[in-house]
Amino acid sequence: MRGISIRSWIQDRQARGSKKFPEAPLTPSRNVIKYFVMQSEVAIKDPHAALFALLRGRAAALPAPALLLLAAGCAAAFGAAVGSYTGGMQILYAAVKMPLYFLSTLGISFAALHVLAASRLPAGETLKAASEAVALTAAALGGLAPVVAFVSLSCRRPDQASYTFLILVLTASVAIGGLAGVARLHARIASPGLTVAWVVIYQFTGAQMAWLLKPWVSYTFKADRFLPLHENLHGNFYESIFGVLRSLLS
Amino acid sequence: MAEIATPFAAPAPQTFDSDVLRGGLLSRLTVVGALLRFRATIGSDIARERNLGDYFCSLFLATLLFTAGYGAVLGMYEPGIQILYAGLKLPIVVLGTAMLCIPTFYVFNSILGSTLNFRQTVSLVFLMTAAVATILAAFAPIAWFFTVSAGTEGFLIVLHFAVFAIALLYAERLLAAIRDLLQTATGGTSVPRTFLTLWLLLVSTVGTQMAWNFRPFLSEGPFVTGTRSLCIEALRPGIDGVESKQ
Repeated sequence: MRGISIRSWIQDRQARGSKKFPEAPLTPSRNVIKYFVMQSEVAIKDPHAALFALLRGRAAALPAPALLLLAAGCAAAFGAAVGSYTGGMQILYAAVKMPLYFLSTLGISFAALHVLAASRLPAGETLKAASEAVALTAAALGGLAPVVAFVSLSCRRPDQASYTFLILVLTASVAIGGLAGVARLHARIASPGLTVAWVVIYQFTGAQMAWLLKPWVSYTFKADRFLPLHENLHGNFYESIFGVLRSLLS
Repeated sequence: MAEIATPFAAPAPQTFDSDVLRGGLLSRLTVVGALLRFRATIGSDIARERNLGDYFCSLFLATLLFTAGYGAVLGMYEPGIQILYAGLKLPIVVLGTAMLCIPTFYVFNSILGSTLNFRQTVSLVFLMTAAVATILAAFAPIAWFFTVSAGTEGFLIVLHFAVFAIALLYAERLLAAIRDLLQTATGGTSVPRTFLTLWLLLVSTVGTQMAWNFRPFLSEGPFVTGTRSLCIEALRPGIDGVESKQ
């Protein structure tokens, strides 16, 4: 479960006489992809052990890239389950978009999360704590994926009532997964205020990210759109909620 | 005069050793006796991860055979090919439901602090299906008697639902007992009690839907109707259970 540090890896290569790594030290910023690949080695070589450690709250031994890789894998499973209602290419579309949703939301909100936590945690620890919460949420959703896929495949199609029911099931699943992630985050950083602030920031960004990456289930019942950005870039999640409220009142 | 052997004279075994399960088809079914009488042995075997592979095979086999038997009884309402169909469909429903719900059980149980690993979790889940199947097998003669003598379809549906409810309640009690044994043996959390109940609720919901997907069991019909719908629609008026209203 030991993560290999980039320095020891480079020293090892230098010891073997590799000409690729001369004396000048490599910075993680120049080798960020290689760094991520190496750090996620644990999750690639033994995904079950890594998942086991994550679920049981022993993720401290896992480097952040390994956690993010686990999150991507579990999120892809849940995405495939979400797409299975429409079926066909939508399974693949949603399986690609779900990890994208989790990781890009984290990427975009990370600076804000770190600023708030900077007084207690260094950036590396912030990334690990946030990655662990995201990975646990994704793992919980991955655990629900078989049931969600089964419900999706049982729902009548095309049928508005079944579609609405499915959306309810998905919302409930995401809420359960989110609760698991928040509980873990709270246990990890032990500060109610910081936990609330992080959840608010992540959700604020996440709602818009989900809006941008729609359709998930595809209300047209056809797998005809992977990412209709031209459509999604008009308006945003919060404006649409405001629009719904206004139409209710007028 | 030769002594006549009295039936049931041999004393019932007082212990159970899971090494027996390796013997063969009939020895594998001794797991049912263990499930009914020697829960402590099962609990300690699961805690020590002893013979878990054999337990798995035996529990799977017992579930398969007993549910197939009960399924055949279901099909006897319309004798003919329906006996075969229902006998094939019920094991698919019970085992399929269990397999669908294993990841949920494992992931959430682990998050809630359980010390059980994946193999132990799978053994617990198949212990549940075997318990359900055992109760079904025990009630099969009664169900058969009502099916061939005085059953109308409505009455039989209620009867079968009642049998399944008893089976699930029994399985819940069994799992709770095994959970306590595991708790004592390992000293850590095995399965939180509330979570166990919630998970069994999920299992019964998924199982009902799975059975609905494989309808009909009683009346004559195809193996699967091929229409997608939710089991809650059975409560809507105007749906006869086979052909759904579009």
